[in-house]
Amino acid sequence: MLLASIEPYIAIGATVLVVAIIVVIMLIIAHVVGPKRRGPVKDSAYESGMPIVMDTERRFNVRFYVVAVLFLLFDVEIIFMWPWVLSFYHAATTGQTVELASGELAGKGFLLFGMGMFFVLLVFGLLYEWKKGAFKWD
Amino acid sequence: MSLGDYLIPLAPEFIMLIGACAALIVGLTQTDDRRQFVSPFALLVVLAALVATVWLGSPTAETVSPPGLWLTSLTYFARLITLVIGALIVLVNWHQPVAEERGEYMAMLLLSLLGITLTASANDLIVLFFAIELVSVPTYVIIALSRTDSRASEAAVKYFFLGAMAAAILAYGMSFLYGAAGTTTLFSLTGGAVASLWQNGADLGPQAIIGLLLVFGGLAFKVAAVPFHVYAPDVYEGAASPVTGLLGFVPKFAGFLALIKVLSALNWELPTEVFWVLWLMAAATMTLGNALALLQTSAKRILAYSSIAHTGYMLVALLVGPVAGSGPMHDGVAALLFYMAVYGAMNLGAFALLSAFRSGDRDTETLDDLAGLARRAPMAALALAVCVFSLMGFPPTAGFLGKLYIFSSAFSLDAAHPYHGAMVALAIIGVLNSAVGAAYYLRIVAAAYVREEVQEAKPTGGMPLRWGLALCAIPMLVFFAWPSRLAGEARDATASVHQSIRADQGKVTAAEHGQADLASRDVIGSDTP
Repeated sequence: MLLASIEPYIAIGATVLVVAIIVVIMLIIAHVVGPKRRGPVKDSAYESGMPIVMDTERRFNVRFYVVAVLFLLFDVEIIFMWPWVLSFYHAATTGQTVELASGELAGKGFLLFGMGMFFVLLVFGLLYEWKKGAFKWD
Repeated sequence: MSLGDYLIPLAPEFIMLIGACAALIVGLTQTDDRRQFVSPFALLVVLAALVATVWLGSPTAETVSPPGLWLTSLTYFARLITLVIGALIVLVNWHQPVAEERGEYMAMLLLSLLGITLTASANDLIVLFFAIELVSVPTYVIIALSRTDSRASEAAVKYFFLGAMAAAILAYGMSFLYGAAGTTTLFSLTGGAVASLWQNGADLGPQAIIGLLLVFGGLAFKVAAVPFHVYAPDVYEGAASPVTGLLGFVPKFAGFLALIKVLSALNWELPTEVFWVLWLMAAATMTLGNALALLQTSAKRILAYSSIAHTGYMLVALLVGPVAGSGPMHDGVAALLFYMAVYGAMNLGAFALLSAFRSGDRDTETLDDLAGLARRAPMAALALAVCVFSLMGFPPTAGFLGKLYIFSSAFSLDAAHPYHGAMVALAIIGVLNSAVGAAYYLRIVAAAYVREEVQEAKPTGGMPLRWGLALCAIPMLVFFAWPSRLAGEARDATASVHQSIRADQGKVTAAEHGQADLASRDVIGSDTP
């Protein structure tokens, strides 16, 4: 029973195993036959020769944190919009319906309403952030 | 089928959603005078949603359920209880956060309440997951906003990280159930739902059992059951008292509603492994919660451990399920729902009292802070005594009836039930635990009534808090004398659990089921039929 349920994943498991073996073999070969030259340039952070400007453990402005959080919030929803666009285009051009997980059929009106709700809430969030002063740099 | 048919049955949810957004806007105003309107506004929203719930009534066979949801009498019960206790929570939290953050605070509270009603109506694993997270995520923010000191931030961070882990466990478990069933729909008339996995007592297979255990693990965190209880005392202590009263009810109710959903998909025919895991969880939760509460000196921590112990009692009722008969005396789910409603009020009342007084320059927390309260504030001490006696399960309070229903439901299981002996043993453990619990509850009452004052307790908070406290305590006496209405609602709510069991066994006709439209597969919101 357990074996039967994991059978489809055996191919993936074999791939992972083969990849791991190849990586280990390559590392060993590089370690054994590769030439070894040590020096200050070799040990620097960028072996390509780019000079190091400053330390990485440097303070930077906390305001970037807010920018990053806001970017994440308003960027991720594109993942939700992208499949919606495809479904809606399909429903609107062909007049066909989309089957939902519950087995019910949704037409373009329902899809438009769903995205409308999502978008209104999103815009509301944007306005809230704006009024709260999250976009002010100073 | 027009869009309106799908939206009107969700009127209470829409009122809460729009109200939460509006509360945020009111909170954005520049002057404190205007921000004072946030709390009354939040109360108004909760009451409006309550009116809409009563106006809509319990969903009938004709009620249309939107995709992913299934509106049943369980939804109706959850809405009623959530909104009534939600109104009490708003009263108790009236002056809680500083004015600049009150808009966000009340908005988060409304969203959390919205999550509970959605949990009760979810008919899809993904909707269920999002509904539960809609309950949890705002509570992290509420804890952080509740006080300005570092303890609240610490509690919020602890709760957030452990909660995120629990959410991951829950989602992982649901992915196994999805893998086993091939669908995320919980109940469906046309078959092919998660519930069909258990049709005709079929063997579940390891995948589904792993999924179930992980789901129970994730939900055990929400209801603070052993071994996922460790966060509870620290978080409850760190948050301000009015928020702690909220934490005892909101995530617990949502967690138990989700557990009822999952177990009714199982048709309450638990595989042996799953049954014993839940049995051990219930026994350990009751015993550990009570034993550790005995060792505490802080009233807040005592109540936190008592909240864990109460989860254990409710798990007993959950394990009994609706199989023994109807009415809360026999039906475990009805007993659980009755107990949840009573517990929400009595627990909130105890924490409301802690927030109504300050000892010197800090919040009232320890038993010493409560000492001699009865002489200084006799009415408040009486309210505390009523709530604590109710938590103890002592007549004449509703808490007594709640415990009576839970344990009698376990005792009334048919002798032919596969786990009859185990359930009777569990009920006996529960009764013994209630007796042990009396020891620490009496310490709280004794501190207020018998001991001499250690430090002067100064009244704080306004009239709304006092009203909240009174409205938590009075129903404890009212529902003892007149439990039939609440018990009746709980019984009706269980009817839909029965119905969902039968629906998946194909013994219910489409019209009876409440998803009559599903059979004819009407198209929602399209002009092309």
